[in-house]
Amino acid sequence: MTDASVTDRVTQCHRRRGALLAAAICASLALGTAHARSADGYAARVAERLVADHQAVVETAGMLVDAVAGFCGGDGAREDAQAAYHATADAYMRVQWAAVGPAVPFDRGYRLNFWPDDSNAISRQLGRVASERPADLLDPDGIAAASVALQGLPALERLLFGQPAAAPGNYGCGLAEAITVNIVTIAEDLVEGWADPARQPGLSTDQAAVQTLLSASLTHLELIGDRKIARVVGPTAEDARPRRSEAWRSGRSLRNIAINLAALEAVWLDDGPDDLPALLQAADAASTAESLAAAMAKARGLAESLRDRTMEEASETAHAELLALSNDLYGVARILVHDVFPALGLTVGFNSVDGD
Amino acid sequence: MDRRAVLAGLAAGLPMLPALAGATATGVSSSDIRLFAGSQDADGNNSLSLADDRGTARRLAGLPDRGHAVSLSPDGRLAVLCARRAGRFAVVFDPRTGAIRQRLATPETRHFYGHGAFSRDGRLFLATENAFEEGEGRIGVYDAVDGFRRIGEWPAGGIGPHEVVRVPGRDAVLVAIGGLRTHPATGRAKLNVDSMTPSLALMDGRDGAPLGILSLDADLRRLSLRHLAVRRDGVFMIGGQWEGDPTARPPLLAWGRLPDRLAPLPLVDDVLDSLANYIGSLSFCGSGDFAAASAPRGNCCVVLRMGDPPRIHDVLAIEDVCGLAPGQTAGAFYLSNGLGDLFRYRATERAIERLATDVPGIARWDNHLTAVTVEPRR
Repeated sequence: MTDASVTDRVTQCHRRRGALLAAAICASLALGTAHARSADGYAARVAERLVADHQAVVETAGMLVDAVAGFCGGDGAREDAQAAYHATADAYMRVQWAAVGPAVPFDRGYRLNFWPDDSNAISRQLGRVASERPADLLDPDGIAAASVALQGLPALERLLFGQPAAAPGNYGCGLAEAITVNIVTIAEDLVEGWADPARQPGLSTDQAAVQTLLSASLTHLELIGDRKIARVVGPTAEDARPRRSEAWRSGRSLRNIAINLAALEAVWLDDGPDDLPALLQAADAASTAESLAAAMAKARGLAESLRDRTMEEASETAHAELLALSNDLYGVARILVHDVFPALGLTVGFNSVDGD
Repeated sequence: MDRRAVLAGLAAGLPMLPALAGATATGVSSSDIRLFAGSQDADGNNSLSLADDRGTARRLAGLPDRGHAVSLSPDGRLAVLCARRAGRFAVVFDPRTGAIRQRLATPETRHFYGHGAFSRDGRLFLATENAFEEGEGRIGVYDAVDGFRRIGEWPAGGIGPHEVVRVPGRDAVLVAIGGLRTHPATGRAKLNVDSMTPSLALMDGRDGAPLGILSLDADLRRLSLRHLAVRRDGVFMIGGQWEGDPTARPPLLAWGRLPDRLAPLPLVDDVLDSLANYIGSLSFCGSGDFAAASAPRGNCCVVLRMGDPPRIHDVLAIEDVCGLAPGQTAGAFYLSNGLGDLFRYRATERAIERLATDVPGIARWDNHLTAVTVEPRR
């Protein structure tokens, strides 16, 4: 007794085409028993907030375009360009978690911020282009077609804070200017995409959107605990490798984490009628919302206390706090997986959460 | 159960068990197959569980944390479930009756990676373990005829050994070396992605003597080799988890023939896209004519027809699918997922059926599924 709908799903799986969308489509068609309770409104609320947060990226990046152009034209100081970079990075870190929906097509998410970069592709590619100086990359359209590693914030960070250093009149400055324009373009596309979520991969129905958005938030939380903290600080202070941290050149590794967590807190704990606590309450799981809030408050407090230190300094002087923070984040993840998601009838990949 | 099916099961190395005394012995109805796996209930309590191919299932023993994979002794009289990384417990049970024999633990300075294998003679139980302070992989050696006393350990051949499989017909085991260092203090974070060196280690199953190391080319050094399946003739499949550039689409599967052949298996892009750079489990079917590789992150399972090279036969869309075990016949597989569903798939008809869902007490099946064929009752 072959289940006809199963065969149908298989056929649909076979019909899947089209680059990076396939996995998301496969996920939305896949067989499963649990389904999200009606959560009309929540996905829309999250998407709305993402429109505003991406709009902030567009605005700060617009100022970054001017500041870098000023520095490269000899009218402005490097410090002004660096400050504008920080403002853009601050805005971006509020949306870093949303690596789904419109961030998937055309690799928009990775092009805006290629991370993690375990194979050091950004520095390798930058070193190569700094010596070969291909003219087409100095054009925003040219950079948009280049390797994802060259296109966004991390490449710009190296040019403004590290090597190869941008200086008025040099190739690096031309590249930096092209990158800033490219960042604006990508962020504008993301604003447009989040304003029309139903047309985006994984977001076509409210139910799929809630699943996709909450899964993305959980994935990001785990990335913060694993990639931004645990892998950097190691089991003991001697194992610490602060230069593995995100954005260490601009000294903002821990600031990024604090902002990431503030953004996740808004996704999970904002208190409007369509927000998650209200959904949990409707599902008789108000206490789950409370335990999530308490765990997040603890983690955020610790993250804020470390926010203004460099990772280099903190991994020496506050190694135990950093380990505690990563453990607190695992604790938050456990509440999401064991309490929040089941209360909403959502499934997280039990078998796919991390590498087994 | 017909004779051909029995032979197919034997060909796949499926242990044959003496007849079970029906429902009284195991609490599930009498049928030809027993499936063992870790499971979790809706409240997050973990168990070792048993299912049959009619979808009946029950829990055999509670576990302190998530279990991972069940290994069977060559004579089918013993089975061991190891804890998922970084757990330190294991449960020894009798797969014929479901009776728990004993519980084990690693030394405090070691933890299991989740997989084990018995030696060919059944005397040793070999488990992949992490010597985390040293940052080295080990094979923990347990004496299966003396109360599973831990009698020593062998170098695993690299950092992060994961699945270990007995090579049919030889005194050898094959170990998938993931290459990733982890430490309990930093949870499941991967500490050495920059320098990881995944490989396959072939070693003597009696004393751990190295018999060879197989590796893929340097451009695939970020493909953490985790799971494998070995056919009776020495043909094997291996599946990896990509730790490199997330926008890349590396071949996730490789295949070869022992002792020394290993090659990546090119797959078309849209199939690779659906696998999400992550293979969770691998199995040959009962006859060895087909292999399946599950991709829980892609919510897909790819089925290959074995040949030179193996070719895509089918792609199944199943949410959070991971557990895979051979059925008794050519092209037959059992599959499980993280939503508590159990499926049977027949490659020859490209037909899938759901055997079980919403089994009381089993909200999720853990990553691996182990099948045992029960000898027909006369």
